[in-house]
Amino acid sequence: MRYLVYIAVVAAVAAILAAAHVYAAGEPPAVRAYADKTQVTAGERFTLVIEINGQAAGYPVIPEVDGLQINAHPNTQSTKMEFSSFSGGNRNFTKQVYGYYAYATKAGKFTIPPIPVTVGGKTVKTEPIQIDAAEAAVPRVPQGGPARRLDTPVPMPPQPPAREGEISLDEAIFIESQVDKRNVYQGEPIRLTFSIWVLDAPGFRVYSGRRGQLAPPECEGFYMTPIEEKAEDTHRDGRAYKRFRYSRTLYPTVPGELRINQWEWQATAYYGLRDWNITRRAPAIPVTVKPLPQPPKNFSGAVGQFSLNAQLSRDEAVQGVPMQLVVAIRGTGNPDAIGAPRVPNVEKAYISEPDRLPAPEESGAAVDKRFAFTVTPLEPGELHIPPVEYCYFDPEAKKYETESTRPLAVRVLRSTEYAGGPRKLVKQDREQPEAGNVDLLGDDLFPLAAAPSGLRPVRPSSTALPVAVAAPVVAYAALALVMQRRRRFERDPAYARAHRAKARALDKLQKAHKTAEPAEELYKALIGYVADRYNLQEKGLTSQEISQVLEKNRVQPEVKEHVRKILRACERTRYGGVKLNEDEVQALGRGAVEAIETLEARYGEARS
Amino acid sequence: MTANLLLTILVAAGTDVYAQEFGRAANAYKTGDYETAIKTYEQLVDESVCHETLFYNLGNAYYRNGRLGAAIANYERALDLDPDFDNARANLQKAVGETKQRLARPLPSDWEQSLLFWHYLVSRNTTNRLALVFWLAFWLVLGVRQVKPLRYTRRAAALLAVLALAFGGSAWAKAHAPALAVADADPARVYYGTSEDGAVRFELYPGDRVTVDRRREGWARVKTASGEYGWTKEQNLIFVGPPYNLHFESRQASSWLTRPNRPTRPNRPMSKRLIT
Repeated sequence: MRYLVYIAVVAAVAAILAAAHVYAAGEPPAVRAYADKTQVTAGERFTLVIEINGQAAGYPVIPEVDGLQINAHPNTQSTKMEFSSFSGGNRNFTKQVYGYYAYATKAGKFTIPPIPVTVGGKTVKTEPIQIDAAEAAVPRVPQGGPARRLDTPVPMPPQPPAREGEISLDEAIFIESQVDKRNVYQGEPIRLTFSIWVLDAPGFRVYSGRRGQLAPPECEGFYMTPIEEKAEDTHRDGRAYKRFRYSRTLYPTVPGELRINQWEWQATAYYGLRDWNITRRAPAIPVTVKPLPQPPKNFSGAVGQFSLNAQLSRDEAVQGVPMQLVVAIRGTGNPDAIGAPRVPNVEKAYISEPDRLPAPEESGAAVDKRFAFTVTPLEPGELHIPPVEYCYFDPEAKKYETESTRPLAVRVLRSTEYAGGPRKLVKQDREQPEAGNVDLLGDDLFPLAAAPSGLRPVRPSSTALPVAVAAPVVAYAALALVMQRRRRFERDPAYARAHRAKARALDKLQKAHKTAEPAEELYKALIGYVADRYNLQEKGLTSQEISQVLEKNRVQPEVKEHVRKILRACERTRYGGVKLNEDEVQALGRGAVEAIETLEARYGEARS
Repeated sequence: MTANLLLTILVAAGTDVYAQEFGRAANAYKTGDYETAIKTYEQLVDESVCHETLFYNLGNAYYRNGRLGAAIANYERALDLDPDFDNARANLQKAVGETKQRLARPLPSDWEQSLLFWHYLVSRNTTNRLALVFWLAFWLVLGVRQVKPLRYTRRAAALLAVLALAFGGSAWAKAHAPALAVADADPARVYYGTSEDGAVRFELYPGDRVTVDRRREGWARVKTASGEYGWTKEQNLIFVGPPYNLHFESRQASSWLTRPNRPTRPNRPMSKRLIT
């Protein structure tokens, strides 16, 4: 009875759940589309929102509308689920909301047609939406900047103007080009700077990609230094920017009206949730170049502002020992137009041609050039080096200037007077001074060295080297042979026995005389020899078998007979009880030795 | 036994003789008698005494005597025997700094020096010794391998073979490299060909270092560090060597492999001359 009650309760619950499911599934799908703004200006962004009640099979398919640009994929997306109960049942709601950014590409009235959405296996369409787009406002230009956006043929939608409180693309990225002077003398440096300003804000970025190229301007009539790059974080109009500066120095080489042509910069910017190909150009800059006035005779050709300094490498010199005179020219101007100054002739010294010394890295129009002259005093006494002059044109003063070094004097010792001993040498990597360099040596030679120990003649031997080269080869060859033989002994017992057969047999024969039964020992020695020589089992061999072995190995019959006789004699003695006297033992022993020697010789012949 | 003792005494006495002569030359130098110093040092060189100190002192004596070419040649010899001889290097620099043209020493290209630094950093004698040591070690390792094949003996043998070949090749290259020579004539005229009737290509001055790659009938083809080349009389040059003797005509340039016997000299050896 109790079981029946349980079954009834479970059945009731199941029925209720089934009914609820049928109720929920039977809820008809609802789809709605609307725009957050229906009155917009051309280019102004609005959002197309699609709400779907129920489980959609996929994203809605956004139609193309002439005059409207709507993103194909949702920019925002949310899903809301509700589970509610009421008297007699439960209801399950799923609501999905998709947002699509859009804007009008031109003014006019546009209709977004019904958008089909598949929900729960059924296709449902939204209502059409009317969008009224007015004319766009004129794009704003950043204040204070000479840059301008040029009408470049960019095959992309127009750039969006800024909404209230937003910044336009023109304000986000712009360029500037400027020179420090437009009216100059020939050879006078002009600093040309090109700046790219990029807004430093989240969600906005510029990347070069394939189009990110900076085309430097063509400047005919100018000598140009390489472009220097610099990036910095800065602020402008209350906004943070990254400023990329490209600078170079120009030196007009001809007088007249010259022109620095336009710069062009192309890049791709991510702005307003999409990429924009942008091209920025800076305008050309005219420059007026005046010719230099009539130059004086000592004009060096340099234009700019310079200072001159001269220094000798030592305070005291030695007759005939060279020293170094360094003349440094520092200032601003074209470094390549600055030649070496001319040092006046000095009677008491020989002054070499100048060598350019390495100088710190030059930047822009800054110049630091150093020239080294080798001065070799020819006579003792006071050596006076007159001032070195350098004439250049100063464009600021608009006239030629002549810079001079101070006169230098140095005391020159006679070479034999000098007894100061060698000074510490400058350590140099390369032992020889390259032609033109000045050696910074002490005044005198390093002194003689003391006699080394073991000073003796070294006569090279013509045989030592070949011997030294060949000796290890010969030694190795001998060792290899020995080792090869040893290895053969180890792996080839027959070879080892045959090799030692004679030695073993003779040893046994030697000992046979001292034993009580010399005939038996002689017999064993001879049998053992044959067994070793032909790798046979020694024990149990008879004289008959020995004869057969010898015959099989083609031993001469007389030798075979000789061996057989010795063995038989030994056998007779062993088994007949005959005692051999000393002479007989000696005779048998000699016969055995003879037989062994003969067999050994025969074996050697057979091998050869 | 008696003969051995006598030989030992003679050798010991001979060693003393060389040291005494060396000292005599140094004393002459210190008193300013550079001619005597040069003569004495040169006698030691003729006796086949070969030591970097000897050439260094001889270089100093020549320098003091005003012969830059011979001084530079002897400093080069000292450095050839001992590349770490700092005083010789310093004095060489000084002497080169006083030459008229201050020509750089002809050197291989930078990439060659970088790649084969071990070849250029090691002296001739050290290279020979290293080649021989690696050669002996290679065969020793092979011998050990014959007796007992230990681990890594094959790799060690391969490595030693490579080293022996490398240093052997280096030694051979040094022996057969173009000879270094120093100009000793003022000026040493360099011609387009082996004739003094032709045009002078350029001139060398005492102390200018050149390499000699060809010789023909008393003429040598010289090449400077800047790549200029031409023919000049051998008598205008001092060959650095080895053999480390002054003028070329009496000593053929040769290698450590094919060095010929020294030419017979009319004088008796100094050891015997002084002992008796």
